[in-house]
Amino acid sequence: MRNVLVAGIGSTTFGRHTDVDIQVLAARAADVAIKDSGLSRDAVGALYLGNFISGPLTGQEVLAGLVADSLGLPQIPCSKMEGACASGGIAFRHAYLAVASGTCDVALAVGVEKMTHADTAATTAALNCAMDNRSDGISGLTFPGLFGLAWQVHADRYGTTRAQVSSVVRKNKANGLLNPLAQMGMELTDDQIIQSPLICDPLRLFDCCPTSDGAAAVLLIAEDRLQEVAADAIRIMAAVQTRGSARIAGHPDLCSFDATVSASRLAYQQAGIQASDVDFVELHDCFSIAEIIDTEDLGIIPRGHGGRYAAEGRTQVGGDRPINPSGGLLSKGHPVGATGVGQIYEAVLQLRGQHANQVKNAGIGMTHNLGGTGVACSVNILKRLDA
Amino acid sequence: MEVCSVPGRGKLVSWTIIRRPPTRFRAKGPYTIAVVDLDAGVRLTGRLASVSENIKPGADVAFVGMDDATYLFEERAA
Repeated sequence: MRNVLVAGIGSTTFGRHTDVDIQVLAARAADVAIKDSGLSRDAVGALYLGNFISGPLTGQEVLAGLVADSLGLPQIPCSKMEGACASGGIAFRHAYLAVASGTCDVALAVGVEKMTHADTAATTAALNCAMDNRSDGISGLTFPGLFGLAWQVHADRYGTTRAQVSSVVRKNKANGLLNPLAQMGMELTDDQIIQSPLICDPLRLFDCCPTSDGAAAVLLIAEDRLQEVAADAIRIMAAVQTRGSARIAGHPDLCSFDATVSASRLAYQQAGIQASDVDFVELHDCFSIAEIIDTEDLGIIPRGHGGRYAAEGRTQVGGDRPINPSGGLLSKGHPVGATGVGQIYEAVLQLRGQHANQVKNAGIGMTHNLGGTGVACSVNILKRLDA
Repeated sequence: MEVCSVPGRGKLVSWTIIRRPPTRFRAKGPYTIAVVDLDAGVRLTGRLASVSENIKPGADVAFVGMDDATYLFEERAA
């Protein structure tokens, strides 16, 4: 398989876009990505769109084709990828495969979701589609609940404290303040966090990522056409996707996601690197405790030490293991289908040296996107061409 | 495959209290979700009838019946 580059990136802000139709949101992000690359839209050979619940929440499906239509793309294959919260990462990987395999030279990956217009009941019901309804949904479990379960085990086994988990919330919310795409960044104190309402013991309101509207897009090109690219191109070193248990009871360990472990090991192997070579990670902090678990599953931080490293400031932008310099899902919110592609956008900005929360000398970045109860995981490794 | 019965005794793997239930469970809330490892070697998701102050992972639990379509457990003495 041949080398593939990210040639262009685009994103809307993540927040409230109540008056913008979902396909327009997606087309705007894609339009920016195409213009960023300097390529003509006639060059696009395939479109992959990540989206989870456009049908239930907007009444609109067939989004991949609709967006291509809005963009005036040629009569190319347009496909929707769905893997709950990993939909965007899955779309990215399929765009990568289309180019790497030689099927086409240029492919577009777009992620989009519109959620803020819907009432809480409708949103919760739609999000719960990502759970195995026979074994877990039937008990009244929710996604915050899944992470409440995981947190109890992590605390009992490793001694992870409320204060350590709060340090993740404070860091990501603070990082979000400087990210122009993030609408939910804020200065938070530990007191404010522990006074926020309990959602699923021990998770509180500020431990949860907000719902959000948004779209992000990336244009990929075969590396042998590098000279046509206007922007700083970034090389994709690995784009891995794995499966994990669809039921909570199927997880070998309640505070680890086996799909993340397997995807990251394969990604390091494909990229020919080790965890210590990664300069920053944009990972799936759908909840505060998720970031701690993810850093351990990815092999970035030793098992059981995720809370401690966060509390010691080591996962700050200037720390030795920068995690979610963008502010993550906690401050960008989680427009479900857009998140995985949004992470690629943030990683590319870092590797171009243009991020608002720039990690010094960022040469290699990793993204991690996890779907449902860990049933799908996408891990990608990106590298600056001169790194 | 054949249907068989197993004793409802097991150990609590983890629990959480759902304080913001989905709509169709709103009348039941707040309720406690439990993941239980039955001694028989099966792990399943259900509910705890009540949560004691000092409950910890590994606590002994026993099946006490179905709550609608969900397995209901209670803490028990060892």
